[in-house]
Formats: sequence, structure tokens, C-alpha cells
Amino acid sequence: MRKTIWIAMVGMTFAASTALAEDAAAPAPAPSAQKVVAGKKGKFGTAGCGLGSMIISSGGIVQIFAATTNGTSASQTFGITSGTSNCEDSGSGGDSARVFVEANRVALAKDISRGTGETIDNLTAIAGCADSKAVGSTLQHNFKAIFPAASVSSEQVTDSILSTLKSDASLACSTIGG
Amino acid sequence: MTRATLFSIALVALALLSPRESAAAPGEYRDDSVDSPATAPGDASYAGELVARARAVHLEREVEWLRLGHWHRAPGGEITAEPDGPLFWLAKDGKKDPAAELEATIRGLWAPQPVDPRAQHPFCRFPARVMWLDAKLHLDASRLPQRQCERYGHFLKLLRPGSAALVFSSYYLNNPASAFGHTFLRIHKAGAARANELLDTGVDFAATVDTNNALLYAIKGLSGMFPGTFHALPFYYKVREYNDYESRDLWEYELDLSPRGLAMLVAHLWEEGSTYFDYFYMSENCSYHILAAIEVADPALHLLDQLRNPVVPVDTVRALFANPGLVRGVHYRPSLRSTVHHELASLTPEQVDLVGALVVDADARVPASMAPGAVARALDAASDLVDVQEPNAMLEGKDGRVARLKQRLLERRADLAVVSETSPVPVPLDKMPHVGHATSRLGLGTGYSSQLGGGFYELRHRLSLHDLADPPDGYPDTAQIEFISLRSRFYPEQRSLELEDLSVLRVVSLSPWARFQRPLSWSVDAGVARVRDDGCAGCVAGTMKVAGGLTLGVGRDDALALFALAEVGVQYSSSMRGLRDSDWRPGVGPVAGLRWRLDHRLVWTADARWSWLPLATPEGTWLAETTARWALAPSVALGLDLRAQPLADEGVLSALLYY
Repeated sequence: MRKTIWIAMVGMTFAASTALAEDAAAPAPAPSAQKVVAGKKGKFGTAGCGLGSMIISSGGIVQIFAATTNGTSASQTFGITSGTSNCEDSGSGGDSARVFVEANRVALAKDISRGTGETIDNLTAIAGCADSKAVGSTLQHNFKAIFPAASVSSEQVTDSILSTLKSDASLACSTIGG
Repeated sequence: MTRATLFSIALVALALLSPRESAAAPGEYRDDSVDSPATAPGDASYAGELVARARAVHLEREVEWLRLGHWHRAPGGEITAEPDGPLFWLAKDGKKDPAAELEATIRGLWAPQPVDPRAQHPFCRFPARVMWLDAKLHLDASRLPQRQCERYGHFLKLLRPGSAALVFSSYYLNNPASAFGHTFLRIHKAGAARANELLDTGVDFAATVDTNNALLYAIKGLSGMFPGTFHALPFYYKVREYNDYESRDLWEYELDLSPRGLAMLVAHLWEEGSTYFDYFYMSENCSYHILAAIEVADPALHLLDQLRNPVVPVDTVRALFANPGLVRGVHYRPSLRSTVHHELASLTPEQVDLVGALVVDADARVPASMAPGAVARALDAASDLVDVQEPNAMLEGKDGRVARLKQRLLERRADLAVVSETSPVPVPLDKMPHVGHATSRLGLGTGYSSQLGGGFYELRHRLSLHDLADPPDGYPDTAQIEFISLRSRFYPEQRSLELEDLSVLRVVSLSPWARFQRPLSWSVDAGVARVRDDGCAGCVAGTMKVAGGLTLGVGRDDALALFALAEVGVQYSSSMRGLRDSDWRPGVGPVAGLRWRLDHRLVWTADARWSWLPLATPEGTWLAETTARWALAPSVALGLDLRAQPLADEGVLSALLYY
């Protein structure tokens, strides 16, 4: 009987230990992510940069690209796996805006409808605009042009946002070109 | 037969606790930049000179060097290092020999350019080592090979480090692997406003899992068979994942590092990025390696010293506070759930009714008397509420019912053309993770049992973390997670020491129902416990139980939680009169209870359960327990536990020490 209790204990310890510390980035896209992946072949690789393209697991989001079973050998060669591998974020300008919009789409849509919010502050910084209040109010007025339907692609959303910002000279957005 | 069955119970437990995962996807790396070869060869004789100087002052014994290589002296006296990837070592036995690695690092500065254009020259692979060598040996740049590190330079340009924070992501019981919390780093961009911190970089350490077999997962995770690696991603991915998708509060502990300390930290993260560490859930886990990286920033820091096994994420936060002045400030980033809670609390009943209508039908009619600003606030709360109710829609994208509902809500909101007033969520100061009680608990008590008609002493110990009756500051109010919790008793008259119970894992997640949220409450309990009923008169039985049901919250912040659960379980003991006279006793039945936080120092819990035991003798059992606990000081509490079961009524008065 002691023996069986020991076996049970060991088994349960294994079970329990999986809960002990947060960890474990799973190596493959969730089914939802695969759906997103299938429809996308943009500038940023086949996976896209949306939240759905990232694997959400207990240990955090890991890019599909980085998270292969032999992903460790890739990172060994290249230093830390980072946004550079798939979703380039240079901190400002159009490319950054694209990644930002895709990853923050749900929160950004809410903030644009409200004319204010953290994602608008950050988008203002990426686009190098003068004043996030003005940006918020301009984007709010153009909500339907930016998000004409739930199904519009994030690329289109980004393009509409950028063209809205560019077309209003008073916003003085300096890093997204004329 | 018993072994096989026990094994299958363990498997069920594993399946319940295993993370979401599936098979691997092939990938590619897209980075075109390549480090250029040296533009000047340098002075080869300088290498020997530097090695001699380093040896003369025993540089290899310095704490900074030992931290850069993560060398530790094992109890047996042998030195070994934690990084497991071969590319972290320039010396053949660098993992065990800090002196050899130091020499190899110095000589490595003169190494030929790697043939593989994707590989990094040691000079570019180890920027923190080079910085440290420069500080110690005052390297003469004119005698070193001249070399540019494009990739590392690109990484620095992306991060533009200005400051660093340790971020604690709160307890998330709905994913067992996150139940103990999580930590990672946020590198804030120099010169950027706090409002723009979404554009900062988050750096975390996580295991790369290569199996979806639950048993393999557990075995490999415990024994360090998964490689753990560092990852850097824009901080907004972390915010969207933790704050929004998982609705976890984030607590950011701003670190007061010197410019050199910050540079060392970032350079060292780059070094760690080129290797992997065997991942151990209990010791070398996410929080451990993040803390170890911070320690590289300044030799005066003492962080890993503060830890014990198992390494619980909140203990790594507390380790920061053991270094006075290291934490410059604490910043709260509320989860979407906390935001919605705050929004709803600040609405009028009429607005709340409107929210209720809008989350079902985005075109719901708005009362004519309601001002546009008031309608806007209801619409804002409604769109946030939908995201809390349907987090998976954030991943599933644009075609579903939820996406269309949200689209319509936001269209209506934008049409109002009023800008929302920002009203920050009040910071729950009493829930700052570092103010909570310490994670291990030792208890000494004296008790009385009606079965014996006599007294006993009780010794209890819990490895981690928190139960419903523990002091509530710093922990979620209605959640309990205990790992390895033991109670034993000494009966002085019989002069015998007996095991009362040993719980491997006990989780209780009570999520109070609210008007718009109907979450499931559940519990899991696995271990061995002494049973006192007619089917098992004082026997020690292996026990596995799960329960599900609902919780009602009453009062401010659900100070009183009333819960009702349905429980199924199985017990095993060779002296059990179980199912058809076997040693196994399955049971099913109701559990009802309450948890009442009377004060920050005083908590009362009570529960009662009855189980139907099919085809066992007798066919039913019951248990009622109540606990009152009073925190005398941050680390000391007094507790009274009363317990009634068919063959015994017991009471224990104990003193508890959190350490």
C-alpha cells in the first residue's frame, strides 16, 4: 500500500509541478492563429503580426517563426529572438505603424471610437504627430472610413489610418511620409 | 491493477493541468543584417598581455564575472554554470571553469570572423563581457581588432534603453501554469514619455515546449528537458496578452539602475539570447532567470541570495525590495476586467441597464433623456465588457458574431463624436503583490479530538502559496493555491506522531457572479488525507477531487463570498471499505461554503460537504470545517480550525508563521 501511495504521490507531484511556475511557450499556432496565417502573405512574412498570429501560452507570446522545435538553434546564432525576426518594429514610421495596428487592433478600434486612449498616444508617437488629442479626434471622425466593417483587413486599417493622418496637415505627422 | 489505476488518475490530473499546445510549425528567420569582418587586425601580442593581467588579479573570481557566466558552486563544492547552449561557451569546459572561459573570452576578441555569415563573432556575441573586461582591464581600443556589430547595434536601436522595470503579471488561476504569477522585464525607451510605454520592449524567459503529451510535459518540465530561451517583443504584445486577453493586472516595479547597470543588463540579455537554459519549473524558471539577469547590472545587488526553492515569482519581486533603493516606483496597469469593474461602478443604474442591453444588441434603444456623454460612457463600458466576456474573439479576428457586435457598438460610439473622459482605475494598494505575506507557512497548534477524548499537538507546513483564510493583502481575495501542504499530529498519551494530511496541490478559484459575468468557480485537490468515517476509520487515503459551481459575492470587493459546488472525487486506501468492497471509493456530492473577509487582518471561512459513495459501506460521508484566522503581524497569524466528520469532532488553535 505504501508503494502505491508513493506512485500516486509522484504522479500527482508531476501534475502539481506543471502549475508551479509560469513557463512553457507552446511551439505551434493555435487553430485561430492558423486561420489568420492562412490568409496573410504580407510584407511581414506569412504569419502576420496580429495577436492571433502569436502563440498565446502560459509563458507568453512567442512568434510562430521563432518557436520551432529547433528554434533554439536559430536564437543561438542570432542573439535574442526579437521583433526583428518577423514583425519589424523600428519604433517609428509606416512599418512600425503596421505592426502596431495589427497587434493592437481590438484596443485601437475602441480607442478610436472614443477619440482618446493609450493606443492613440502611442500611435501618435509612431507617426511623429504633434498632438495626440488632435489625432484622437481626427481618427474618431473618420472611424467609419478606417473600420468600414468588422471584416476589413488590418493592412487596410493601417493604410486608412496613415492616409487620414497624412491628409490632415495640421496634425504634422512627421515620420510617415507625405 | 492498483498501480495502473493510480497511474490513470495521475494522467487525468495531468490532463487537467496541462497547458494548451500542439505540434510544431517550421519557421524561418528573417534578418538580413550580417556583422562585418574586422577592419583592422589588432595587436595579437596584446591578448597574452591581457590574459596575464587578468590572471594576476584573479579576475575570474570576481562576482561580476561569475554572474555573467551564471556559475554557482554546488553543495559538493563543484562549480557549474546554468547556461546550457554550447554557443555560450568559448572555452571547451567553460561551463565548469570560469578561469578558462575568461581567458577564452579575452583571446576570443582576436578570433577569426566566423565562416557562417549568420554566426556572431565573440566580440559581438558577448557585449557585456567586453564591457566588463574594459572596466577591469582598461582595454586599449587601438590594439584590439576593430569590429562593428550590426545586429547587436540594431537590437540596441530597437530597444533604445532608458530604464528597466520588472513586471509582475498577476495570478491567473484559469490557466494552472500561470497560477503562481509570472514576471518579465520591460525596457523603457530613452526619452519616451510614460504614456508611450506600449512601444517599450518586453523581455521574458520561457520554455520551448516540444510535446503535447501531458505526462511527457510534466516529466520534462520537472527534470529540465525543455530548453528555456529569452525573447524580446514589443511591450504592447504583453499588454494585449496579459491585460486584455487573460485579464491579469500588471504591476511594474521600476528599477533604479545606473546608466552602466542598465547597459550591462541589456548587453547581457543579448548574450543570454544566444543560448538556452534547461528549464526547471521549480527552480530555474521564468522568474529566476529574469532576476539573475538583473543581478548582472550591479555587483552590489543581492537578488538570487534571497530566493529559496521552489522559486515563486512574487518572491523574486520581494528580492528587489531586499536591496534598498532598487525599486524606484510601482506602477499599476489594470486588467480589462478591473477596468470594466471600475467603469460599471461609476455608471448610474440607468446606464448600467443600457450596457446590459447593448452587449446583447448593439442597436439597443438609448433612453431619449440620456445625454450624449452619458451614452458614450455606457457604450465604452459595453465594448470593454464584450471583450472581457469573449476574450477569444480577440484572437479569432474579424468574422465572428462578437466582431460584428463590437463593430456596431464602436460605430455608434464614434457617431456620438464626444471624447471619452479618462478616469484611471484606482490603484488597489492593498493588492500590490510584494505587500502580501511570505509564501511559505509554518504552524504549531494544540487541539482536541472527541474521538480520543484527548488532546494533541499539530505541526503544519506549507511550501507555498496562499489559502482563502490567509491574510488577504497582496493576493486575490477569492483564490487559493497551495503546493505541498502537510499537517501532522503528535498524540502525547499514545506518544505517536501521525500524518494528518499531505496535499500536493489544492486550488480553489471562486469567481463571484456579477450582473454581466457568470464565471465558473472550481477547485482541485490532490494528496493524501486521514479520513474518519465508518468506511475508513482513521485510515490515510489517497485523494483526488475536483469540483465546479458558482459563487455569489456580497459587499465591497466581494468581502463575503458564498459558494456552492458539485464535487466528484475518489479515495484509495487498503483499509477502505470502498466500491464493491474494493480499496477504491468514488464519491459525488455537494459542497457549500463561505469566505468572509471581515478586515484586512481577519478572515473567516466555512464549508460543508456531503458525498454519496456508491456501493460502498456506508453509502455516504460528510465533513464540515471552519477556520478563523487573525493576522497579528505581516508574518504572524493566529488560527482556529474546527472540523466535524462522522467519527470525530476536532478543534485546533494554532500560531502560524509566514516566512
